[in-house]
Amino acid sequence: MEKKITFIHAADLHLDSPFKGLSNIGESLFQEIRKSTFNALDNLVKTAIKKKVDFVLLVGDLFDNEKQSLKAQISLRNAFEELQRHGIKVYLSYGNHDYIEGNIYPIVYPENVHVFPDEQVRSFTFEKENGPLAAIYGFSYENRAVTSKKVYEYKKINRDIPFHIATLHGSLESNTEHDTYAPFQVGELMDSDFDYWALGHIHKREILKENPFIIYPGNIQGRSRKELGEKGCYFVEMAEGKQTVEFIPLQAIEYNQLTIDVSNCETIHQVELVITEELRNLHSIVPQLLDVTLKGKESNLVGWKTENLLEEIIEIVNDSFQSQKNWLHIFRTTIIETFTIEDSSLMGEHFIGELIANLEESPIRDHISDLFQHKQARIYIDSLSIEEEELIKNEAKQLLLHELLKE
Amino acid sequence: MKLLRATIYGFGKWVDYDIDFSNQSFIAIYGENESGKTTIQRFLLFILFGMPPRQRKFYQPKNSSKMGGRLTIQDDEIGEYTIERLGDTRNGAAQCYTPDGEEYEESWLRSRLSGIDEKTYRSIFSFSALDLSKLQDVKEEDISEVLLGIGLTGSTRIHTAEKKLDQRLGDYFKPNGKIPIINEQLAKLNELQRELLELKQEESTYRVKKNAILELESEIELLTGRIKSEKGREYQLEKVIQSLPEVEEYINYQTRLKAFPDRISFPEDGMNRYEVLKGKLLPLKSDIKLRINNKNNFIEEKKELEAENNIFPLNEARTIYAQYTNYQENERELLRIQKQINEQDKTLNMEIMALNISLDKEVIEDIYLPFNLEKQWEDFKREFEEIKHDRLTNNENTQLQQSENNRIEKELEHIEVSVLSNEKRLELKKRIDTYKENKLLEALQQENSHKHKKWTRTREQTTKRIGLWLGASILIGIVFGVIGLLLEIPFMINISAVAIVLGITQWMLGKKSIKSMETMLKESSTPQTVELVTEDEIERAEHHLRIDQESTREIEFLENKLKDISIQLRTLHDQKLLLVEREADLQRRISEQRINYSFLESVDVVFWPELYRSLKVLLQLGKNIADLQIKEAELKAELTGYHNNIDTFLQDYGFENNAKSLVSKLDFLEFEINAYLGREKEISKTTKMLDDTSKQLKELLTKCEIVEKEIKALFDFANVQNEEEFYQRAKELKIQAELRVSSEKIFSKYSSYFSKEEWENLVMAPPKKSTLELEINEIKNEIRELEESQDRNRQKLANITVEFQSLESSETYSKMVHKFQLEKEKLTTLSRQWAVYKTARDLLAVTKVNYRNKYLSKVIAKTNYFFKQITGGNYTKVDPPIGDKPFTVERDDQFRFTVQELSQGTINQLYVSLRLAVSEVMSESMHLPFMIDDAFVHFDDTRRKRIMTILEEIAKRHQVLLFTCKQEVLEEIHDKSLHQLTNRLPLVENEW
Repeated sequence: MEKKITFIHAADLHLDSPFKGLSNIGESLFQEIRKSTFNALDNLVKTAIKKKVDFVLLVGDLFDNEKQSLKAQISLRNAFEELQRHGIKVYLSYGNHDYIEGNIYPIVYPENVHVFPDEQVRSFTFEKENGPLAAIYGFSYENRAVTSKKVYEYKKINRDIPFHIATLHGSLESNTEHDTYAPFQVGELMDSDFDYWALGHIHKREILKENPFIIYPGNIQGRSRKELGEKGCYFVEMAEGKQTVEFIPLQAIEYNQLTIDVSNCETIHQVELVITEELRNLHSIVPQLLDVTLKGKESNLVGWKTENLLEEIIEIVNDSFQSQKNWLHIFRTTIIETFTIEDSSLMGEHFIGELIANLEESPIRDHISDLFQHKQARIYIDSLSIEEEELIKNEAKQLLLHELLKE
Repeated sequence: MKLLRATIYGFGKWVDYDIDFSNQSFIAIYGENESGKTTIQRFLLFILFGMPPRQRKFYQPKNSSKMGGRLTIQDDEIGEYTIERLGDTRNGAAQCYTPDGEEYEESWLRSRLSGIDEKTYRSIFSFSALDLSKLQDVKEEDISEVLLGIGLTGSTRIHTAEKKLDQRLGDYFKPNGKIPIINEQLAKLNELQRELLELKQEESTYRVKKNAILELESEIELLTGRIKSEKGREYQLEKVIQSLPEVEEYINYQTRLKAFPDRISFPEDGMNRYEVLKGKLLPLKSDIKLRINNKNNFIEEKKELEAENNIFPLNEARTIYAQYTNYQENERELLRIQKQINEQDKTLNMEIMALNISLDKEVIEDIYLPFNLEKQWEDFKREFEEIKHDRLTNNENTQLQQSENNRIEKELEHIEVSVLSNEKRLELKKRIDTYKENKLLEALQQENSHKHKKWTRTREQTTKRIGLWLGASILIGIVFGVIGLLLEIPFMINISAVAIVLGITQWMLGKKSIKSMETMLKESSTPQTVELVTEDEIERAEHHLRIDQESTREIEFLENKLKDISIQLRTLHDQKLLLVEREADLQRRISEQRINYSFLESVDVVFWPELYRSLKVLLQLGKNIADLQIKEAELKAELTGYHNNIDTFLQDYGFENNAKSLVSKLDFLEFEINAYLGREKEISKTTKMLDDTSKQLKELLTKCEIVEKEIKALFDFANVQNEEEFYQRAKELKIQAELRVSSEKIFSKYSSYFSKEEWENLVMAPPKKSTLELEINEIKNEIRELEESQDRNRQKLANITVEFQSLESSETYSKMVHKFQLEKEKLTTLSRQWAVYKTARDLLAVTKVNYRNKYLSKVIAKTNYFFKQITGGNYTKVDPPIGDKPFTVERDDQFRFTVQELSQGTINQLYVSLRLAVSEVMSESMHLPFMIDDAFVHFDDTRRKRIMTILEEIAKRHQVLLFTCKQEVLEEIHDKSLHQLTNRLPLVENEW
């Protein structure tokens, strides 16, 4: 009989972790958003059952120790129990967010779950029809970080086992965008002669390499405006000499970006109409959280924004899309103005020129220390990144230009 | 930059209309109200900066489809070029043409215009009457701000923007506020944070609960085990109680068995054999016993006697008895000596009485008379008598000398009476001397009278001579004088005068020598009063003096004798003093003796030697007595010693004796000695009887020994010592057998209940029944307690499990985390917005300061200049606002005014000055023409003239377009021959 296994590869579930960048949402949306990670997990379980997979690989960051809720782990256990009822095994490791030492809840998972217990690379053997069919390798984070190169510790245990699948929660050495844990290079993974590298840690899904597959499945539910689009897991089928992977979306709610041109709008009401029209055309299959960029020609937008008119119409639009099943919600609005006066022409000896020169020169930190260094506020407000500072500067500039130049 | 000419295709009321600025710098455009001045102005601005569509529509001519026009400009850099702008083409964008045929877009134009827009242009380079009227609406305190803000791209807008931003910032956040939205949000977050912590705390009990469940489960298991084991134990104990009586029995047997050795040895038929031997032994034994009794009696008797004799000290008793003879002799000797002592004592007393001095017997014994004492006492006596004698002699001699002395003194008194007194003696001597002098004087007087006679003669001669001289000279003088007078010859008169003077001088000299001669004569005449003494008197005096001399010599002799006697007396006195001293010394020594020998007190020193000899005898007597007394004492001691010996003896050997006298004691001693000898005899008799009894006893013992040996053999076999034990052993043998049987019976009964070990333990330490019952009770209690706590644990477990499950299904914390995050995000959004406002606000403030700093000095300098010009030197200085202080100006009399204090007219002037200054400063980099629209409407002639002068001056540097409707202004310009007037412009108005 042909030897064949099927499994699901997922990572970075971040169960019950709060969303970033959401502020003004209603109660029902709030509840849905809160449950979205669990719903995504449900989707994962359903998919596994539907596909009748042999096992599920969960490569780290199942939940966040920092904001660990008991619910996250209970639901995880419930999910595992459901899988157990369908005879599906689970191989899981802990990552930098759910490292072992930081876990305060002693949840006992059912017997179908195999947890890599420590930072030592270990293996479990998957057996089917009375014979070992696959060896699954991996390790768990005991503490907040693993900075050593783990890739060399992966060694095949028994060459008679047909499939060797390695799980690794870490990042490419070259990736400096995220915290670099258990760093590796694609070449190193390829050299190590495993049949599949199931990666975790990076939330953006990516197939780094085919044959063998080296895959970041990304997280299963986007939780900030940077985690856009569909999110889910990979469904993998392995037969001797043949491998297929298929991405299956699991997200309960989707983050998306949208740019809307409102340069032809003379009034704020027109803007509302344009936005509503655009949203209506989206036809999404899951609820959407939208990061909308409005493009306008004149300085009207800044004016509307300053007068809070923009905010008001966004609220109206949001209300109108909230009740449908796949609701839509604009959580962020950015405006881009094609300003009529060139910056260079604003320079010179004019006041505006002076203003812009000053803006370029002075860091905004000094201006905002009242709040950002405020004893109480500091606890809750993150310090600004350079990027954010630039944004603020820019907005300030827009505002001032608008105020000083408006008719 | 300069506007050269404009062509209006169509703009408002103007259609196809040309304006030629004729390359002039200062152009006045005159027209009545509603004449279209403003439209031309708007047209120029439209060409330069464009216009939004709506406004373009507004300026679309009613009677023409064309809208737009051209403007030709002279640029400093690139020369002449023309701007064309049409309302309907290119969406109002400009098209520029340079003389070289190039065409340029709107952006090119913009850069030519230094990038400024219409608004900026208007705020810097153009102003109108309207601006001034607006100024009047501004509140007083803001005037300064407005004035400063001229040209700063619409300072009012900056001002409004600032205020708006401040307002927003205040709405958002105040560092110590509560109401602003960010503060509110912070408070909210704090609250949520607290709740979150509480919930987290609650959730963290999950682990505790889980542990509690595990603990409870394991405890329940543990308890179940314990209950089971306790119950087993209870059953066991109950069985023990059942078996307890028999166990005790068994123990009893065992204990008793233990007392026996494992095997008891005993001779065969031992008891009967022993009975026979015993029958033989008994008669022998009773016989032996009798003999031994006898023997013991004898020994006892003998012992008593010997003991008695041993106690008695025979030898000593005999010695003491023998010494009695000696004692009697001593007694007699004592009596004799005592008699002697009495006799001698009597003699001594008598002797002492005879001496009759304060001396008694006791003293005599203490007296010690050293060998030299006799000599000493004799010396005292002799010396005493010597001193007595010397004192007598001395007294006699003294009296003798004193009487001699008295005698001589009397004699001396007698002689002194006959001696002459000193006056008398001197008188006598004088009288004799006077007599001798008189004899000498008589001879001297005779010589003196002779001398006197001779002097008298000499004097008479002299008197005669001088008289002559005087007469002659006077005569001569008169002669010559008369001659001279008569003959009138002065010479003659002089001669006469000289002659007279000479004569007088001669006379006076003569008189003087006569006088001295007379004096000499008087001295030499002496008196002659002489006493007369007779020869007799002289002789008598000499006799008296002779006697007196003899008496004096006699006195001297007697006085010498008196001196001798007094020396003698002094010597005697010294002797007497010496004697007194000696006597005192002697007395001292005597008293010393008296102290040593008190009995001398009443005895005169003279009798001391005799006393000494008597004392010597007495002392001898005393010594004899003392010797006898010593002997007496010795004897007495000896007698007492004997007494004591006897008493000691009697006491030491314990003789109880009531005898008091020595004789009875001695009798007792004698009796005892005899008793001793009697006992000696008794002892030897008893000894013999004792020997006999011993022999018989020995025979009997031998017989007995044989029988006993046989018995011993039996005992030895049975390993016992005596008959009792033998019987005992026989009995033991029997009991042992019985016990063994009984024990075995019990043991076999319980062997099924208890293991061998348990049985042994039971037997080893058999528990008391009460203890066991108590223990069973305890166990029962414990079982009950365990079961109760088991129930409790089960209940607890159930409760915790419920809680645990509810915790597992709880979503509260999860919800809170999300909510918190949401609110935090909200805060972030708000804080970002705030940051934008804050940055904008700060930036505006900073820029304002920088901007002002950059241009203010220049503008103010220019303003100063213009203001002074316009006010005709009334005001000399303008100071910009500093801090809270507004604009201030200084009048020519150095008074300072803040801008609020100025009249509206002056404020207007200041405003115009500032505007002009700003335009001037700005135009340094942006060469654009000024457009002024009747700004000076309300100025009087003087001021207007001044303004015009300034404008002309400015026009030298920049083109100035002055729009006006005032004829007066035109006149001003008319008068300036240097500038062409523009009133010739045909202001043809279209029909409107």
